[in-house]
Amino acid sequence: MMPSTKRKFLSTAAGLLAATALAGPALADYPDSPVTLVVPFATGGSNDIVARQLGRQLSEMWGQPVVIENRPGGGATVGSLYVSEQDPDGYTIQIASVTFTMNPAVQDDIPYDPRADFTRIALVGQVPLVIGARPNIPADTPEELFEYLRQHPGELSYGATGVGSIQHFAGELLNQQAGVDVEAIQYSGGGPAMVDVMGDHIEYSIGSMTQMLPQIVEGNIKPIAVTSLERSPAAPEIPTLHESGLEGFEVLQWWGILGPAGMDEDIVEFLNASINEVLATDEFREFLAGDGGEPRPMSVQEFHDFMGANFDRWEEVAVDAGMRDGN
Amino acid sequence: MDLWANILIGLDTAITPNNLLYCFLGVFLGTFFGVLPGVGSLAAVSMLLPITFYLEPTTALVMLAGVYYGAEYGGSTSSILLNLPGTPSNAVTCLDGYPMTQQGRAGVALLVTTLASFFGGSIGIIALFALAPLIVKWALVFGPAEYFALMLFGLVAAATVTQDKPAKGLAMVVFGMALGTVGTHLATGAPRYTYGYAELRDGINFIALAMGLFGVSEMILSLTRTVNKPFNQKVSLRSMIPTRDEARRTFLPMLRGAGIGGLFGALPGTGPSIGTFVGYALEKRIAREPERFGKGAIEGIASPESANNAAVQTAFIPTLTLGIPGSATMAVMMGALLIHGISPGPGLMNSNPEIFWGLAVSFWIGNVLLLALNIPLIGLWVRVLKIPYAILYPAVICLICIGVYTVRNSVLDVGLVMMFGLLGYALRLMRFELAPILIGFILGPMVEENFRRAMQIYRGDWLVIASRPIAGTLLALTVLMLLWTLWSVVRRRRRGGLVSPLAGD
Repeated sequence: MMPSTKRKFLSTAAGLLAATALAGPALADYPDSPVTLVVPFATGGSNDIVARQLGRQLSEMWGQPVVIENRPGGGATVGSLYVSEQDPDGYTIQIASVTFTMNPAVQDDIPYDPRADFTRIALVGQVPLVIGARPNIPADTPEELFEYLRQHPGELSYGATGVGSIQHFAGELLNQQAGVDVEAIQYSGGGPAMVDVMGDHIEYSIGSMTQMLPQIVEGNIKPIAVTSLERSPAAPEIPTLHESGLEGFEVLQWWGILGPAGMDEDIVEFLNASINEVLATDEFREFLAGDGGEPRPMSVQEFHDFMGANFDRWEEVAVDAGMRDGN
Repeated sequence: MDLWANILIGLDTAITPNNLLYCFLGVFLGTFFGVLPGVGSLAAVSMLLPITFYLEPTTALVMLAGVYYGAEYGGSTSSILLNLPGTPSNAVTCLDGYPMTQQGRAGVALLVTTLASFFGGSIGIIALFALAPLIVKWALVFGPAEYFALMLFGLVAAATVTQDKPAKGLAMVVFGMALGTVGTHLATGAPRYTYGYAELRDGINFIALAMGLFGVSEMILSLTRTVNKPFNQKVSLRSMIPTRDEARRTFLPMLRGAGIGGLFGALPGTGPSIGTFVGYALEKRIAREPERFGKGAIEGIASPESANNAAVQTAFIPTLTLGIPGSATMAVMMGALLIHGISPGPGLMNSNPEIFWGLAVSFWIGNVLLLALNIPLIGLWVRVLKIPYAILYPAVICLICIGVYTVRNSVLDVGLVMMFGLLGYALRLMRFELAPILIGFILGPMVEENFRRAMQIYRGDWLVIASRPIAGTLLALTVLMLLWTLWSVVRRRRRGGLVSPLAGD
């Protein structure tokens, strides 16, 4: 009888599956089907571009397709909520950026717990931001900029890309550490903010190297400083804030890989090792260097602590700067 | 002579068999997605972007650009035939395009649209070639104060687009602006009217709103019509040719539309829709018989379609030369270049002239292909209307739901289509115009954001806005326009409605 044979087969298969699950994960086989890498943003942004490069190299390494799935919306909350609700079997992972650890510091209504609902797998890379000022600003160095800002307390504005964005955090941190009072003006993206700097409408914007460097080369934007502790190889002539009197000033855009909470440790270690292997390739290094970034391999434990420290730090900055009040 | 050298560089790139092939493919797919209800140009470009990762950067952009203007073009087809605008710009085309269909003249409307699109697109491309460096400088003068004044101007111009009672039109504009407030407030990060839906943090999906208000409400309305059969359409080639009078009335609006669209499109902060709103409003203002508008006036499709396509082309100016995308679609397009390691910006024209000029030439080739592709298709599209509504409408509703769902994987958006369908039906029963809702929805948030930014930058001193030359002039024009509207209403009242029996009810 066909049906009963089929049922018997299914129950056997289910039993076998249960047995393997009990005996530990099928790490030996992982990944034996396509892995979905969720990008919680639209196509074409930095998260998407990094995810696609990483995905392509991982799939070459594994011989399994890595499917990029864009689930944009709600400032990445739609996509992250989706990932947090998937099976923690290693077949659904996501890319997350520094803003993942910034959002909870300024938003109350995130539909998941960013600290508890995710497994932290690996850090991919990081890139500094650059302070780009209007070309005719009466300041050429960070020190001169601080002086100029101090002479005009409460009169000047800088451009950011939304409350709790990396540009906003960088700007408020600058206000705190330099002891100045510059008002954040929110734009819908780094591009529009940069145009208003070029058009002499606001003083500066702390934006991505990718966006700023072409304008800097043409003299439409005056570079003041980068936000990393060391100078960027992509623009070594631009000083750091750290060396210009704001000791320890560091705001970096980074991308990491997360999965749903409760992933098997062996699979996490496997993913971490695979990703670090990609980071070590010249191809990936050159890919990130094109935009002033660099790979930053970390062990699972290091990345876990790294994210924890990020959550704590942005919480503190947000409280000190009163960012929750929308200032 | 520089111009010729540039055109030659462009031709060299654009005319390779590979680029020609992908240009055609882009235009074809774009038209296809644009005609599909529920899929706008943004969705079409986003969906096809991953395919282009494996192409040469220039080829990738040639194809995506083809998808973009192909979809903008295709969107006008569904606007005219089924009252289904796929993009904000196409909403204006519905106003007179759909009445023409109801009069059995869909063929004429589609032909005029095709020609106006081609004409506007060509003017936009000429502007791209000749004026790109100039426009870039001019665009930078526009800060938050100027954008605020410009958007306000567009909003007030749009409020007068409505035919009957200005008060009713204004009410709908305000309602649209209210819908536009849904989502995260940019300046404070506070969620507004999201009711706990993460999807609503980005605001209401435009496509869901437009498809519901225009399309679904139209279908509900058709159920109540006593004679429930398709509008009788002539499909012969001769029926597509406009009358002499129409041809005469098409040319100047097309020219003005291209000018307005091209100008506004080149500004990085506007997007193509405002040009179509203003173009339509202008035609209505200067028309001898403004009451014909909204009832199938040929100027009412010629001007906005020409403006739309001119703006689509000039929108590449800020994207390519400043690296600043003027619209969400342009942002995706820029992403395509970034993925290939090319940073659009002021250096692009010098460092990669073959990309810049190759694209510009390919745009024109794409427009020619659109023309060649679509004139034969008009007959086919018109035949779609011969399908009995009992079959056509359920199929269209299915397509809308699938399209809207696919774009964001959101069930909420499908629910919104239906909700707005019922709302649109109710509003039409009360004889409210629907287009002003979309205009308010698009421009409202831009007015708010720019006003907020201007107020912050000038520390709450609104006189600064009025004292800036461009912003001040635009504000003065806006006031003049308001006064003119009031005056014409008063004048009409005095004459006791004798002048325009169509204007009141």
